[in-house]
Amino acid sequence: MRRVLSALVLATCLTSALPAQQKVARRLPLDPDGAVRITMLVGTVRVYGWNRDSIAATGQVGRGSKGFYMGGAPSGVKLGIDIPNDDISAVEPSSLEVWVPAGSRVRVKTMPGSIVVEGVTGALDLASTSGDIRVTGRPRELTVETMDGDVDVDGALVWLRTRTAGGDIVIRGGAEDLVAASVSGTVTVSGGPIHAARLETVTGNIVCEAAIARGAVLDIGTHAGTVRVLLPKGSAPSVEATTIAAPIDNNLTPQRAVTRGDGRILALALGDDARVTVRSFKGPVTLGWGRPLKVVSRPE
Amino acid sequence: MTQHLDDQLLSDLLDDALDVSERARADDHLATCSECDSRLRTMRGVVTRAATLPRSVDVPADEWQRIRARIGARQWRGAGTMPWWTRRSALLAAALALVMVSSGVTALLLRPEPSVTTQAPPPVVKGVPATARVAAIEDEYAATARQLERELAARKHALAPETIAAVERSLRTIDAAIAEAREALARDPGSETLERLLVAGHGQKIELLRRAARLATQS
Repeated sequence: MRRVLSALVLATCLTSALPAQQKVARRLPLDPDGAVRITMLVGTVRVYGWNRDSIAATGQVGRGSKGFYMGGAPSGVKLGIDIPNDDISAVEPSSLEVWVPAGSRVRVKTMPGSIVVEGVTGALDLASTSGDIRVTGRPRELTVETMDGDVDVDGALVWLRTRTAGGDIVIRGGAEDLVAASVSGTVTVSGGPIHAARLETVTGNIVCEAAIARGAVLDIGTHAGTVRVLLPKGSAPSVEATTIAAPIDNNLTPQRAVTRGDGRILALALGDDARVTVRSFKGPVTLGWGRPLKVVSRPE
Repeated sequence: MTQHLDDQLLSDLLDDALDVSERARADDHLATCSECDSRLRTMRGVVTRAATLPRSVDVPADEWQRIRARIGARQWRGAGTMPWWTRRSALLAAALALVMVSSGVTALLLRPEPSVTTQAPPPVVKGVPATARVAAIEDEYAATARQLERELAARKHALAPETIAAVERSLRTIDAAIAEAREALARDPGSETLERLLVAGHGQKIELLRRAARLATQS
């Protein structure tokens, strides 16, 4: 009984040592293309684009955090939740939901917190150490960086840069200019059309089964991950695959890879729709046909 | 005032994303601190120069002739643009760009990533042996990595232990891949694939360090 009482007293002391949770509800005017900076070190941030010239934030500040701040001018607003001494272990997760003009430029940073963005058409710059990042919509430019979190992008994009250390990357939808890189996470690209893309990993697997635009350039590189490329059935790209210490499994044509020096090479000139290059040190490469997707023209 | 303005605050200042009181504090500090004022000017210069860069640049005609001549045997009749990284000469261009950029870690942290379709000007590589070229590229990457490692070490306390562990784990993975590619390249110095894989490994390492340092700065 004494132990239970001691535990209760201790729990009470610990709880009271942390500032209580606070609710957040603020709104400020913001230009349609205004800049938004959101910094929340611990917790979840959700950002939604809306058709109003204002920014609104609601949510909850986790125990132990210093509090919510939000300020700026119609050209730019900065908001977030501070934590004492940047000690992320001393606070409970917070949560924020932020509505911004759809065309605004948004930068979000969290430490172990996840980020979700929907319906923003301006430029997005999203960074987290270990939180997952999910984006839906058609942002003009998108930069996503995380260490161990996963990245999931669903939408038609003009410019996309995403990098992880161990997190997986999934991209659904098209991109005109795409770089997706991971050290050990899997990179998966589907949907499309892709106009120019570079996919690279060190040990992570790469799967590309996206539609490709006419004149597209697809460059894939890995050290030890497996590579699987499924080209749209009916397309006629030029394909070159090279490995150093791994097999190349060609299911596009009867042609087999040839040995050159220490490695293998497979060069296929199926046509001039697009150019596909695959380089791998010791990850096996598989090439095949995917679904019969329409090859679209590259925009001028 | 001894507390310098951090990169994030300077970035927000450039973006006009500070509220009135923050802006006033920053202006007061900048009026008396030549170091921060100089960093702000550098950052403003990077942003200004980046804004003037074209989203895409046509390949010089003579470069196309050279490429076509090289790959003519494959009967490549590709479209009018190719990404710069697909050229071997781009390896050296990347290294040269890295040298220029690595003159300041702040600039490296802030640098905009080039467009996939942007063409880097082809550098002159005639007469440079492959081994010497690769060694020069590796030296430059190593110097930049050391700079970023120092930067990261100074800010490491801002990252969670799990994040530091993840970064170190990934660095070990990349270093092992680099070592393996380097060893293979020593056996087969003419391998373009190995050269590219080796450079890609270094590129991944720089990007990882840059990303970790940037995340540490953000806190």
